[in-house]
Amino acid sequence: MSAVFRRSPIIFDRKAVEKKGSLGWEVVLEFEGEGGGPWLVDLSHLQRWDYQHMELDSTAPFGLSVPAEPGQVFIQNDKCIARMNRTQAMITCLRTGDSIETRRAVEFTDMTDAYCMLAVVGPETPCVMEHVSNLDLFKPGRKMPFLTQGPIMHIPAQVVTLDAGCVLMSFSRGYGQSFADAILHAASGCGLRPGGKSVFNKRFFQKHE
Amino acid sequence: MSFTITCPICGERDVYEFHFGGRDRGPPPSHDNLTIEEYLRYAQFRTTRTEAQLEWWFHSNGCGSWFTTWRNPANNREEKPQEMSNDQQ
Repeated sequence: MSAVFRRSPIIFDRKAVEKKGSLGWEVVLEFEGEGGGPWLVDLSHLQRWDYQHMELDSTAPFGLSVPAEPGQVFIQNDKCIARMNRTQAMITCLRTGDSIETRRAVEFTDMTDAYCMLAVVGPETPCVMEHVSNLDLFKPGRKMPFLTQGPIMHIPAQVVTLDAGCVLMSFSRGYGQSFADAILHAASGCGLRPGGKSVFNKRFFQKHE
Repeated sequence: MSFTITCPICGERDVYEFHFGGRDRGPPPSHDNLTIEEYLRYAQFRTTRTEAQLEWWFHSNGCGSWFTTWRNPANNREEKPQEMSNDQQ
């Protein structure tokens, strides 16, 4: 039986120092010359679902509590659940390699292969995002993490602000390579460069464990 | 030209994130004894107004929701008609 081979929509023009296979994806953990950040990290391999239910508040997909208000985000068991509107939530498994079987219930739609996910990591993240969007992604007084739905470089995207130094952006897969090239060019003044998954792990899991 | 529209889910955003869905004209007329002229008047005729009107908007570049909001086309501000504002006071 042949193994499943899955490919990210994004290829960075950098040499990978360390790679890891995960569920058919080839995940780069570290690139050559990553430097001190900020970094653009390709997280397209992370499993992601859209969850839809008429009575969203009374459900617990994967055992997760659903946020009460649209825009709210909960981080539980290495999964990020973000409420999009009255009936829909977005669930992302942030840990590489955890194979979670997609539930056969009609409420779940596996979006992993339909979406591209990128993270901007590093203390200069606000500087990077200011170059590509006029959305208020770091609104003072708003409790982080939170979800913003709006355009990044005119592309409809779902943006989760995890903290002041880490932002997750997901959008349709077809935009992936152009989006990555454009943001690297636009934020080159801030020092943005490709980073491996380890950069995200160091930032995220140290903070949330 | 630019102004803002307030989405009930995402809050106040640039109008370029939205698609205009037209003035809210209420439910379609009853089909009982409906003449072609009456139906065409409902379906085709539009009135240009210079006062606040209830409008449909679609947040196409955001959350993807349809909603109604009051807007005055004369100044592009989100405001209710004078009589409704007075009623609320």
